Amino acid sequence: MRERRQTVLGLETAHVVQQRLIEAPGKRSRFEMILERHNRRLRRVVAGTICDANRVDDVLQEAYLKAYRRLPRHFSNEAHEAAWLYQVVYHCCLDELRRKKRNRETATESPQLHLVSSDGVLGRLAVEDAFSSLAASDRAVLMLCGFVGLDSHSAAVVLGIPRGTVAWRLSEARNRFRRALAIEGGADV
Amino acid sequence: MFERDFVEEAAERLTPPEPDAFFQRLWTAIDTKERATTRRWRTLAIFSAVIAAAAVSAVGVFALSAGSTIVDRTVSCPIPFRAGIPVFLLLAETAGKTSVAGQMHTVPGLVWVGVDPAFQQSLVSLSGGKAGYAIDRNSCSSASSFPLEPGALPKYGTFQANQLGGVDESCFSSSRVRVRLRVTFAKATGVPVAAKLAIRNEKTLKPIAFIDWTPKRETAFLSSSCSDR
Repeated sequence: MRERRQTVLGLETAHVVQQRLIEAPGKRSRFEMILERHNRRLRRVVAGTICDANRVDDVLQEAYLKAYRRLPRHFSNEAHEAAWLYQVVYHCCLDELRRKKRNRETATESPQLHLVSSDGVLGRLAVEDAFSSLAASDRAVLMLCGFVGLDSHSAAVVLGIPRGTVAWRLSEARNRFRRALAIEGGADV
Repeated sequence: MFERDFVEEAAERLTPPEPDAFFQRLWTAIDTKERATTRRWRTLAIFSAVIAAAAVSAVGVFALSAGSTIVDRTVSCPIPFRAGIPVFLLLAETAGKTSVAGQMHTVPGLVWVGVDPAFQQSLVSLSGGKAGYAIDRNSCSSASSFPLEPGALPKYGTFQANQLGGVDESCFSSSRVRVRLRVTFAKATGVPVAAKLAIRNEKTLKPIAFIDWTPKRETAFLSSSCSDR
């Protein structure tokens, strides 16, 4: 029985190998199309979440590699596709942030907060600085909901939190971002 | 929304430009990973078949003789022609885990020399664990030994267990090759702990391949007549 089971395993394995070789071209072109749809935004999500321009390419490569290996055979709709892909990318961002914490690296140094000029116009650097000064979790929810425009359900899937918590986190992150921007003269953000 | 504009602006400013070779690098990494996975699966299939063969019959599969810890064999084996050229296949893998049909399997490692594209029958092989080593005595005959060293062969690479990389090659050769396999077994368990495999052209004794293997690490030296499968 042992030998038969192991021989069967060997035959099954050979079959799986053959199947993978046949499927490879279709899978690749499918993945290329998916990346074409999402790559630009994903690149910005990674940049905004980890705030380290030097690491964006490596983190994105790692995420895409994982996504390719785990690519489902089909998605039920575009929202499902987006949520799945952003989840993979977001987890790679978290891995990167944990890695940095372990290595006690600082990415781009949290820059000094530059407040607005007296005429109320925000300097460009102020926006970047204000955003970088936020916690990674705030940046992530702002990127996913504020920039990418994921609905609360998709964002909940990506972030791995309840849908209601998404709304609360987004509200808190917005408040903190507003305070960080600190527009003089009472202008609303 | 006004705030969205700020988030978008921050994202744009924080994002570095995409390098020209970004996707080329990605596909190279994917190809490398896929080759490694395919090689691991093939290793698992071979290993399973070897175990099955050993369970059925002792023909060609040798366990450790009582009291010995080192086995050193040199044989001369024929290499059939494929498309007019004699070609043999070489596979060497450290121990590692691989997933098949959603289940993780641990493969103790493998060094395999053969001509069967289905990887069912080897000329000379070593399987980690207790499967031992195998020599196809129907095809290969005993031969004089030669130095067990890489000689002038260029180094192909060093590979650690559970990492990407290994040896999966097709090698052009002469119609016969001489193969020397030296295996060191652990005294207590009879499990291979180290092995060296050298393959040379039978006529000229020019080195073709050399593998220095342990379950955790292998170093390969290959001639230019070997290429990735």
